[in-house]
Amino acid sequence: MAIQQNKYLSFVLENETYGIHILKVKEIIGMMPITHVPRMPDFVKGVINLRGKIIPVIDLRLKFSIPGSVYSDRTCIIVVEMDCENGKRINGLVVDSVCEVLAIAEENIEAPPTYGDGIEQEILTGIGKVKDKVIMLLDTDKVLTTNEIKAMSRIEG
Amino acid sequence: MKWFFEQKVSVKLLVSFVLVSLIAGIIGITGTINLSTIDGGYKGLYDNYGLALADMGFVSKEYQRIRNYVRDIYINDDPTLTENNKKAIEECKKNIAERLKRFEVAVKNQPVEGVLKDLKRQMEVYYGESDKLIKTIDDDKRDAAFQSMYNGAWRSSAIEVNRLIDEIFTSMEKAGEEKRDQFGKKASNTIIIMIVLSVIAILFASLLGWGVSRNINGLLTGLTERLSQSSKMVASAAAQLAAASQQLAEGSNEQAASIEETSATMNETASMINQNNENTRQASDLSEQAKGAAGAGFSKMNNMIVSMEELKKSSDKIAKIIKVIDDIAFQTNILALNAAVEAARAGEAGMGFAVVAEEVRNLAQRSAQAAKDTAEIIERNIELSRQGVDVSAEVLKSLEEINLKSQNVNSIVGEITAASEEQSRGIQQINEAVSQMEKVTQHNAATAEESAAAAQELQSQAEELEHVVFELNNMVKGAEAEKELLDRYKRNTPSKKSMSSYRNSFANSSSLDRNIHSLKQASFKPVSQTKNSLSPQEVIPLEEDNEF
Repeated sequence: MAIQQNKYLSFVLENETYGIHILKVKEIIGMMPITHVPRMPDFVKGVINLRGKIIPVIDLRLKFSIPGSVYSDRTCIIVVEMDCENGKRINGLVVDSVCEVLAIAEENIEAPPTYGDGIEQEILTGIGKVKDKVIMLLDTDKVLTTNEIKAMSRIEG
Repeated sequence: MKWFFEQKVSVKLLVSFVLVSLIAGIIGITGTINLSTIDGGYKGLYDNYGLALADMGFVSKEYQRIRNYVRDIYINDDPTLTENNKKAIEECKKNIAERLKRFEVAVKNQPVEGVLKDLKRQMEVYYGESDKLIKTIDDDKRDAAFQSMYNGAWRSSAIEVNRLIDEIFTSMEKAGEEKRDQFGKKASNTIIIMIVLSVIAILFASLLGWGVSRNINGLLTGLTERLSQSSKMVASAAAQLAAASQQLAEGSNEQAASIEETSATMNETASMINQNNENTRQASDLSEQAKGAAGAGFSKMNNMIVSMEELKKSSDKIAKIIKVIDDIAFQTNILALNAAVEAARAGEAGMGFAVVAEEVRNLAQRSAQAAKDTAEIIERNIELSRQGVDVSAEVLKSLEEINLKSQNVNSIVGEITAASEEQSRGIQQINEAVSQMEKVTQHNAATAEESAAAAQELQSQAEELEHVVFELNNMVKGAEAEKELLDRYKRNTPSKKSMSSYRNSFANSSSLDRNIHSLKQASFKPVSQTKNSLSPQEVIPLEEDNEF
């Protein structure tokens, strides 16, 4: 079980590699048509119909204020489960590309650096070291703020 | 007189002779006229006086016979005799009439004509009386007859006849004497005239002869002087001409040799040009071949470009296929990741599946990597083929240039060939000209030798002329000229040959002619055969004629 706990799905945004705990991942899909929904925050690209379920899609580039959001054939949508006040929510995250499923031992995970009030750093659970590379381990539950979740909640059936 | 001395010699001589002939003719004609006058006079003297007197004498004789016959008739009775006498009287009458008629013609228009008429009348009277008398005798009236015969009419008429005849004789004699005196005077006049004319003619002819001969002699003397000088100058000119001709002959021979060398060189040049022609022709062929090769390369290059294009297209297709493979690998990767996620969710039960998913993901990754590699290779291929196309285009350009250049080379070679042919023709023409020159030079040499011979002949002719001048001078001046001319020759002739030797040499002119003839024979040989072996001195032995 310990092994299961330490498995992460790695993906790439711009030049950096991020990781999401594998139990948070519902599934990985290729890019598909996104239906734009008005009056939503900028980082919400719209919704997709995944086998009958409407799922809001968040562009992580926009969310992390990384410029140059262009979708290619490598662009993927990672469908994740988020725990929030109103129970579990399903969201799609647009990333540049997905890499692999990595097993990272506890000793190779360090706490994220803290500066100032530390609000921004809350979205990271830690920083994993795999060989010489660094993988930022993303806490999907904290990617969206409460307000954001509220704003988005109305599009969920 | 001036006109006369201005005329040519023949005219002078002709005029002189004509003048002398005219004078002689005048003398002859005068003499002839006078002689014929005298001759006519003497003929007249004979016809008009001699014959007339003879006729008159005959008339007188016949008349006396008639008288005798009449007396016989009276004396004889014999009738036969009487009859014969009568016949004789008639005969005599006839003779008298005939002679009187001739006499009348002879003395026509002369003073004696009147007397003749009287005589004729008186003769008729006498005949009448005679007939009467004979009739009386026949009638036998002898007395009456006797009376008539000695005292009667018959006798008086007979005396009258006699008197008239005598008168005629006297008159005729006187007229004859006058005539004789007249002719004698005329003859002596003629003689004087002839003598005077002859003297004048002799004087005039002598004067004319002297003048003409002096004049002609003067002219001839001047002419012989000039002729002599001219002949000397001609001789020296001929000698110079001979020398010049000899030099010309030598020069012509040298020229002929040079021309032959030129001709040989020209032939070499011509063969070199022919070689050039051959080479340019080969170069033309080669450049033509190069052009063909370039053309072939061109078309092959085009083919290659087409192939490159094809290759590029194929590469594109392969790229598409690779893309599809890549997509599949991607999808497979996603599927594998999903599988891994699912396996992770499954917990312990999903452990094996997770391994499979990992393996699938690895395969997908390898597939993607292979596709990527292939894509790179294909990319590289496409790049290379594009470079190949570029290089091909450049090669094509180069080939086009080669084509163009070989066309240029071809045209230049063509020009060279044309120029070479032109040159060849030029050389041909030069060759012809050179051979023409050779001919002309040979001809010149022959002509020069001929002219040398001619000059020599001219020299000898000039010497002959000198001799002729000498002869002429001799003729003009006589014996003194020879001495004078001899002195002059001694002074002027460097060879100091005497005139006698000069004359001897002239006398040997036939041998000289033979020399000239043999010389001509030698010099007219074709020069081309003897060109190198025969020197002009051999052809023209000029030393020989120095002794002349």
